[in-house]
Amino acid sequence: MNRWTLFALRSRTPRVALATLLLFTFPFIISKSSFADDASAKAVKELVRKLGAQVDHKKKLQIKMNDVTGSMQVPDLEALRKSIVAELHSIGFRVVADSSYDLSIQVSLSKNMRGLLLLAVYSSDEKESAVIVPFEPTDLDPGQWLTGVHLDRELVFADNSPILDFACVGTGTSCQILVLHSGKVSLMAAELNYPSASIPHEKVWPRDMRGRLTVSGSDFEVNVEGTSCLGNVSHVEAMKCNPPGDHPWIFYGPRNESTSGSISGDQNWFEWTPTAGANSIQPQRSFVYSIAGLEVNGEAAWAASGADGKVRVFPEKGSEPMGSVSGWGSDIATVKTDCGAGWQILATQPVDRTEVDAITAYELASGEFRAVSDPMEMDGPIVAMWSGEGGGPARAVVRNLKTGDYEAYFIKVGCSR
Amino acid sequence: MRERVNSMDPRSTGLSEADGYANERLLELVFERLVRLDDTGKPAPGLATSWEHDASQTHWQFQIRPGVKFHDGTSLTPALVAAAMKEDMSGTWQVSASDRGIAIELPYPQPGLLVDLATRDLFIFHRAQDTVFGTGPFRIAEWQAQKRLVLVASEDYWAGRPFIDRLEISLGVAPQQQLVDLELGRAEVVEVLPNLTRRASQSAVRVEASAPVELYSLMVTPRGAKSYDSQFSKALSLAIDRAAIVNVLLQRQGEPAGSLLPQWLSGYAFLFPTAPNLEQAKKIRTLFSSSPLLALDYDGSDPMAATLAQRIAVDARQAGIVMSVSAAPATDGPNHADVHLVGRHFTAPDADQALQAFLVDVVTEQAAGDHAGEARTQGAMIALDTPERRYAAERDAIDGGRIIPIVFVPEIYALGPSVRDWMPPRWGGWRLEDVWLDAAPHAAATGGG
Repeated sequence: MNRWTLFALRSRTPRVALATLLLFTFPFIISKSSFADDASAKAVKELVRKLGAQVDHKKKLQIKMNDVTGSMQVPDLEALRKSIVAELHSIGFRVVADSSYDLSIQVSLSKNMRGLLLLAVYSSDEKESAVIVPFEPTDLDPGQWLTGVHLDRELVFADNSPILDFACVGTGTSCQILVLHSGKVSLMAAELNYPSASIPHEKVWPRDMRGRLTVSGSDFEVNVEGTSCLGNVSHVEAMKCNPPGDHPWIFYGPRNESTSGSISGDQNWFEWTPTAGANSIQPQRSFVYSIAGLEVNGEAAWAASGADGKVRVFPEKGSEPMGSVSGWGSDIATVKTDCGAGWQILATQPVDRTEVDAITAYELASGEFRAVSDPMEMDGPIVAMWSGEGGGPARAVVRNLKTGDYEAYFIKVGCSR
Repeated sequence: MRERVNSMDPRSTGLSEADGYANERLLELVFERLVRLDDTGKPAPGLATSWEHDASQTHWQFQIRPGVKFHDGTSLTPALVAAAMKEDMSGTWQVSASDRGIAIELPYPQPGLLVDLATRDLFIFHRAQDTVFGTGPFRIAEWQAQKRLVLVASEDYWAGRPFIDRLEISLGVAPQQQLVDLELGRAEVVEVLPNLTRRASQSAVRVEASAPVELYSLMVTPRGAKSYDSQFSKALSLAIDRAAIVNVLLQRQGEPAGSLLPQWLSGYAFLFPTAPNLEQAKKIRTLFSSSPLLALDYDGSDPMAATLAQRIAVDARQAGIVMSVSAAPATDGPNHADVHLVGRHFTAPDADQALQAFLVDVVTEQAAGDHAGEARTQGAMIALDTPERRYAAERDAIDGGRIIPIVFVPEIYALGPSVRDWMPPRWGGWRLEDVWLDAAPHAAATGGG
């Protein structure tokens, strides 16, 4: 009984424009005509409807406001009061501002673990009565909007069960979302009744399982631990899987170079060996958590985050790192852009699953890593991050610490203007 | 753990017992329920993968998760689920098994059934040769009642093998001793009483607190109710400086309580005042000509309760109310207390369910002897499905003067330096299957460069 939400793919509202919108509309709606469907406007209507059913309409009312959440500005609180008064007028109540009232009603905005509440409390015949309307707040998360190279995120899908990876099959607004859960692949197509295919396994899946979706046209490849499968979105149910084993994962470079790593026994990292170069030392097998292709100074390279906590960048053919750094998280991805060095490494932070994670873009120059963006904080730990095909937007899965949902994001790098 | 748990048999527990909450924490490591709660407190699939009900909400169907095994290797089947639930449940529920799942027939609509199934002691178990087996993330390796529980990871756990190989849980360990064990590296996770939080923090370990999940309140006994009316209770309530109790005794770990449910759960707790008013308390007190001695007792096994009781008596004296304070008798015998100090955990992050359970306890507590069972049934029938009804029920219970909320207290744990991914639900409890220990950082590294 999964609960999931598919979000419309759209461009993000710039922060400046969004701030203006917030100033006038959040969290309560002043203009009924523009925002009549908003959850908060509905809550106001419901509160007034309930009051109307309990309170004598001949009584003159006084409305006092209170914000228990501490999130509202004074103008917002006044806007809320005005909208309540307008609704009360519309059903025949008289609201007065002076002391000629018959009944004083204290209206409060409060919250509990499920969301917001509007409460109206009044005393009548020495008995205190309360009208309470719970509602889900409108989500207007401002996200990140930075100067210089900036990161942007686009929420695609949210689910209350773990997501390993996702993909957008097709282009633009017509793309279909393919989601990889721990035991199956599902196409989020309501008209097709959400076709899905299970991934065979002999032993129980590990708690920290790794999985990735790779898409080419309408074909897709699934890697889950040591199992690989091939399928097509036109007939997801017909996906074919190799018997569970030690099937390597293929990682692609900037010009379609490839390298492979195998999930290492009972661990959640890959065994990977850099490719030997013409004059380089014999490469050593290493244990890495992530591998991502990029270009450094016009040459293909691999960025790999080691199980020892270090991220290293190797030439596409060569075993000596061009640079290494400590202190990043274990998930990395790469993105191609038209700014800076042309390729950026996106890195998470070394947090555990109880903490909010953040993504920062880095570039490698002269053997040194340099942060080229501010950290973009997510709403919880990043449980997976993969590079996009051909240097496109990276994919990140976040476990939202407030909702517990797994959220799938595209992570984009924008250039300064 | 501070508590001494008597049994790891899910059939012998009762969450209303004094050690019920601790017992439940241990049982959840070994046994599972049909439904669990997600991080927002909403019902999510557990051993049942899906469910449906008819329009009257009296007939429920549950599909059972395939491929699950009990710790003795027996496959989970609808028949075994139904058999376990029949042992768990009262006779008013009818449970039957079919090929794919089980059906539950109820005598009355129960919209909160899923939360019930996720939080009550309705564990699914399988009995073989006098041993009870669960399907949970850990299986029992060693059990010494009231002393020690050793668990090992269930290799075939359907939701993935826990990261921890072996867990040793010591029972009946005094709070101060637990901190010493943590400081000496003899324990990785220990409970912390609020009044020991500062010491725990100074020991350079991580201290993690849940939302306030336990309410300490004064409950007027049937004996007390004969002598004191609701006005007297009001005087006592107004005399108590709850903020001082939280700030000083509880070292800022907790919240003053004027209501039965905390603000994070109800959203309306702020409507119940918590500030003291000594002048008003004294004024009400003068309405009573005599100067009765109020007998207050508390659970002697709860060190927090003793501290709180003493402080309440001091505050009461300021208003001219004299209290005698003593630990409650350990056995069920005649009790001469007028007021009990009671600590009660919320068993569900669901306002309806939590309040329902609380009010049932209040009604039962105040029903005399033979009428307790009847009162419990009546209490269970209170409709609390809307916030207004819950608010009104709380208001009635408190204004009636039979219960005086004091403080809400969180669950607090101190963690050793190697504990990772400690992420229990906001409403308390453990998720030890997700925890891992960073025993030797970077030990696995062999990478080149």
